[in-house]
Amino acid sequence: MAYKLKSAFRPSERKRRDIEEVELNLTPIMNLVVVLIPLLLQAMVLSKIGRIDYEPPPLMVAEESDEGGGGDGGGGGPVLLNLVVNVIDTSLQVSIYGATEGNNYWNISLTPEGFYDFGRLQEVLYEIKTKEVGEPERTEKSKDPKTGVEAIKEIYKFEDASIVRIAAGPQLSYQNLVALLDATRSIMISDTEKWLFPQPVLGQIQSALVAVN
Amino acid sequence: MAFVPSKAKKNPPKGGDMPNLNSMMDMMTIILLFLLKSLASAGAIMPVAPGIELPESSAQTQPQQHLSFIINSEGIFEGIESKIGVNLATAGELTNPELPLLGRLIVYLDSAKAVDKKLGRTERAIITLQGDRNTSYSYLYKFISSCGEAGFSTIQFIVTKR
Repeated sequence: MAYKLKSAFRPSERKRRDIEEVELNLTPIMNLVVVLIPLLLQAMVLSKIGRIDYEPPPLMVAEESDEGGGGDGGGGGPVLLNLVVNVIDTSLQVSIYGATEGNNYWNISLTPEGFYDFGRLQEVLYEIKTKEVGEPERTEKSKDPKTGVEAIKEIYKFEDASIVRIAAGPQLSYQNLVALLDATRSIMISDTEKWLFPQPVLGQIQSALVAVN
Repeated sequence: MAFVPSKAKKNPPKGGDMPNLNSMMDMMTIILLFLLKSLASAGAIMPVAPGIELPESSAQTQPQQHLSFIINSEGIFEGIESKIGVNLATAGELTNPELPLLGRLIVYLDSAKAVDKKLGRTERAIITLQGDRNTSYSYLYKFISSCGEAGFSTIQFIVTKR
């Protein structure tokens, strides 16, 4: 009896692919990390510059208010504090309600070294803030038109409760102007920052505007 | 056997074991992400213009890049990546009492607004100013007035944090 030899299956012609384990090449990633981290650390150390925003508020017209008391006027217009800081060669002059003398006017002389006394200016502004402006009457939610962020706005009895009008002559240096903006913006009381008048309005001093005591 | 079995095959040389870099990579990645996040929240790093000594301030707000100008005793210049660019007002124009506003600066600002309008993007209204601490107030006031005339009401004074 003859048997037909059955051949085994023909080996597959498909190429055998062995699964190779390839190790991840970490060298370029490490290069990137080693370069970026010191660069970013260095940039953080160098970032010592800041900014002061100057955005004058809309013009408000002061109604006549009597010098002795508060800002209560008889008419229907807004009640204004009208805080003015004049910077002249010999002193800093602070005035509210348009006063040129009396209890609502302060003349802050230079320090013995001949510099503007911004510390005393802050004390005077803090006194005005606490005694004249006082606490906010109510709070309102408002949306910042530029950013769309909702913020809580404090409403005071004066419409210009956060505004300080700064008038200076041409001799004032940029450094002194910045120091003045810092002094009018806030004060540190018991390690807590308290806002004073964070909305400055810059102007030029006119001659013989305020009487010097 | 036909051939002597190769001793090299039986004893393959052991390659040096690579140190395990996984934990180091994790640490580096976390540090990198933290630093990138800090950089992003801090805003773009703004270099100081050459020859300018910025005034010191207690302000802690980080600066932001906007239409930039540099002011010093020689005049007002456009700031291109904090480098002094084209002169937009000379010292003479700044000190001239008969010139309340700076014409060339206003034209420059108007053209910047026109470009924004043409490109269909939000019109810029913020200006960044780097100035030398000894710059006089009259120069600054004229600059501010001219910017206000051109519709740029917000000015950021760049200062050095104390």
